[in-house]
Amino acid sequence: MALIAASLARRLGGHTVLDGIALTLEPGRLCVVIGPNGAGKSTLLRLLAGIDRPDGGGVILGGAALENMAPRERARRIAHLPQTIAAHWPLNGRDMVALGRLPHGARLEAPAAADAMAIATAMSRTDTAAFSDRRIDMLSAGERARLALARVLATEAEVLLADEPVASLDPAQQLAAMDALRAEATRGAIVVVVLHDLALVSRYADRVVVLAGGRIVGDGRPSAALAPDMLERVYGARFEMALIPVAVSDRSRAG
Amino acid sequence: MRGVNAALGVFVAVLFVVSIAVGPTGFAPLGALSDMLSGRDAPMALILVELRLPRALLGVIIGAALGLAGAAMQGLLRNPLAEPGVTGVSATAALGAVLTFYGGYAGATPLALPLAGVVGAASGAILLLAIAGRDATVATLILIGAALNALAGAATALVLGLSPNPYAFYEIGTWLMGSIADRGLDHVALALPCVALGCLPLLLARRGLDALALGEETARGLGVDPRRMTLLVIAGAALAVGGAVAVSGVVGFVGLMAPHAIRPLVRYRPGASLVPSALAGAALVLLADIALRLLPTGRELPLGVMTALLGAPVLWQLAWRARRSGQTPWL
Amino acid sequence: MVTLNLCLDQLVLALAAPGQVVGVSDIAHDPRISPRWREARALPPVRKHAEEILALRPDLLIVDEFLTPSLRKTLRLAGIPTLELAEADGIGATLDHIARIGAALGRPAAALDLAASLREGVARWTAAAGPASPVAAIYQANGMTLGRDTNADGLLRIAGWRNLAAERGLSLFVPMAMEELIVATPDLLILDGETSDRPSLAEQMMTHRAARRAFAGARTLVMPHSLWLCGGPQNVEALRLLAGAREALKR
Repeated sequence: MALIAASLARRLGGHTVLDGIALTLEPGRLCVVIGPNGAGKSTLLRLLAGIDRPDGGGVILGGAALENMAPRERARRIAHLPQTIAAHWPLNGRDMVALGRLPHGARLEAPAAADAMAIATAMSRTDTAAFSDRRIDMLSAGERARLALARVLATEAEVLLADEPVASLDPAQQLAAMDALRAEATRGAIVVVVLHDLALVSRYADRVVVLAGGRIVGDGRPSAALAPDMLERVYGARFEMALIPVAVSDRSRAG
Repeated sequence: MRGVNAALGVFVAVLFVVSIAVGPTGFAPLGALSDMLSGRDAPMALILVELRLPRALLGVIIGAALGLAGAAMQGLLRNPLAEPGVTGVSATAALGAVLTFYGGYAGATPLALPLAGVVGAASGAILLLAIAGRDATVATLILIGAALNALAGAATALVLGLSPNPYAFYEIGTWLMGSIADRGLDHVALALPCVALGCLPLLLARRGLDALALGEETARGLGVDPRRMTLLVIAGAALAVGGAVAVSGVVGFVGLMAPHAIRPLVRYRPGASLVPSALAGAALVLLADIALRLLPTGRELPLGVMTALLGAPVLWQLAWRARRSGQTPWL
Repeated sequence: MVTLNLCLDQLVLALAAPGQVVGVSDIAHDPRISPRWREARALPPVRKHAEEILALRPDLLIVDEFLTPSLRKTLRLAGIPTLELAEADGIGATLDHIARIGAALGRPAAALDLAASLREGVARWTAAAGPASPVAAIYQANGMTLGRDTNADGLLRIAGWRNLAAERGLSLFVPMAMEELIVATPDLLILDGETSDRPSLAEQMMTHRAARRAFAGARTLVMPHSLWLCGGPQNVEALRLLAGAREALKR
């Protein structure tokens, strides 16, 4: 069951943000979207999630067009992690994660057994069980980001779209988060992640989509997409392969 | 959660009984009960059924309507100050009711008065959202509320002043400060249908309001349509507030205080705060209405004076926190 | 000559010679509260505003005791002769007003005629009063009642009624809770007549279900404002209504 974007276009205020996007995303694979600021990465993810309507083209999940899908069903099948996580009320950690079960009809005050299980699993996979009863406004940005990831995992969706999920995380937590997303792909989900950290891209991506100026300029294996020529063309800066410390495993798995 | 509701329910029930027991002629429940059972129009039975009971019932209905509408509006706008009174929605509801009542149209159909309140409240809410949008800052909301309140209050005074009835002009206090004194069962029949009908969309919005706690983008990702939520909350708040205010006038701050007190008890979940806020609102109005009957003032104070005395410090505290933290106050 | 008080308007209109009055209070035009509204409407309405009063260049001003200090000062500076009369609290005071206004207008004969006819009407409807007399309660807009030292109280006593508020030691214009009214079970409830074709919350209280049920049928009397709000010849008609209510009670 694939997620297919067919000639997607999106315009905002007379400006073309995305144009002619064609993608077929397959289950079991982790696809990373890279590109410079303003390339349209977040817009693409919102269109794929069905949160925004495209101005041209469409998105099809398992043969059904997203725009014809009931919002609840769409949300059950596609989980979207936005780049910025607003927290308008000081919910506690568990309640924030539990919101991921909303599309399943879960009630925050009395989650059913399946919901409670999904919430607990998601929290243990993001190592956020300790924040269960802490107010999210008292947590650091990184801690909140991990809860946000847990919220998306808890949905147990077929498609998982994460917009810069590791931006505020320390290196070990970055690996833990990417491991969790990788595991989602392994269980058979379609996973699309927007990343800026090229080291993480090379390490985790099965496929890299390079976006620039609202168009796909590269799509393939990480080695091709991360070639210095491609990067220079896209980012306008010269890249070299360098030797830097790279964590081989996060703390929780080290022991 | 269930404990909170149960405790509040018991509290409201106790206040309801106290409210019925308090009055200038004391309380003789047994005599009244035996009179009632024998079907006699004895004085005490009449007082209990026709004066005390409607007053207590209206306290519950109006308090619940304002508490629930306040909690829902705060959830939708993600703003702890979004309250029927502060935002001016109650004032526009009162204006609608005043236009209808003093124009002499209230007798046209039984529901003309509450419906006018509903239309007034809906206009106020739509105007508020049109200007403020769904993510206005605290300051913006207060400014728009102040403008709406001033405008609706002035228009109300104008309508009352233009009425040929010599008493009309002096009733501005009742409409702008609220009262449930000397109302009857017929007033209960006016307020109850609209308030009950308004509760439905508000309660339907509860899960959506939870999702909105993480912002509109997340909410949309969770299958919640913010526009639908807006519609539900406007419709529900207009029905509940319009129906209530048409009978009581503007009773301020109830929708501010009730959710404010409730949120910490329900872990700040907007959806979970709805029902307890309705109960807390009922308790607050009953309490204020009992207090003003016990106060040794020559004439009974308007209900809104009591709720403002209690509510203004809460508003102050919220403003103080906002000033210090530079962001939305939560508590 | 200008008057600025509804009640004084009535006496002045009854006593003055044609052309003597150049202005009456604005509410004197209202048929619901002003017995002589027809005559009043031929004259300009005057509010308690210095400009409106001075524009009529009156040679005499007849006023009540409720003028603002600033208006009082302006009128004094303008040098307009002023007759100030306290509100009448019964037939005695009304007769006194009639005599004083008659003298001020230079119409003593008319004053004597009016006083004589008022005395005659009062005598006609005077009934013996005592502890066994029936009790009437006045319930007006805003839940107000009238106690001792009011024109209405005086009329009630003449017609052989006891006034509930007066018996309770209340005087003048005071609030009375509807509950107290119901518990007191007076023999008669006297409600205000309408003041307007438009409603008010104040007047709505008089038609509260509780009052309707407690005082169903003959036990309620609606007294038009114009008949007993002010002291004057119209009080005779009020006395007739009160006597009629007493007769109805006996049956």
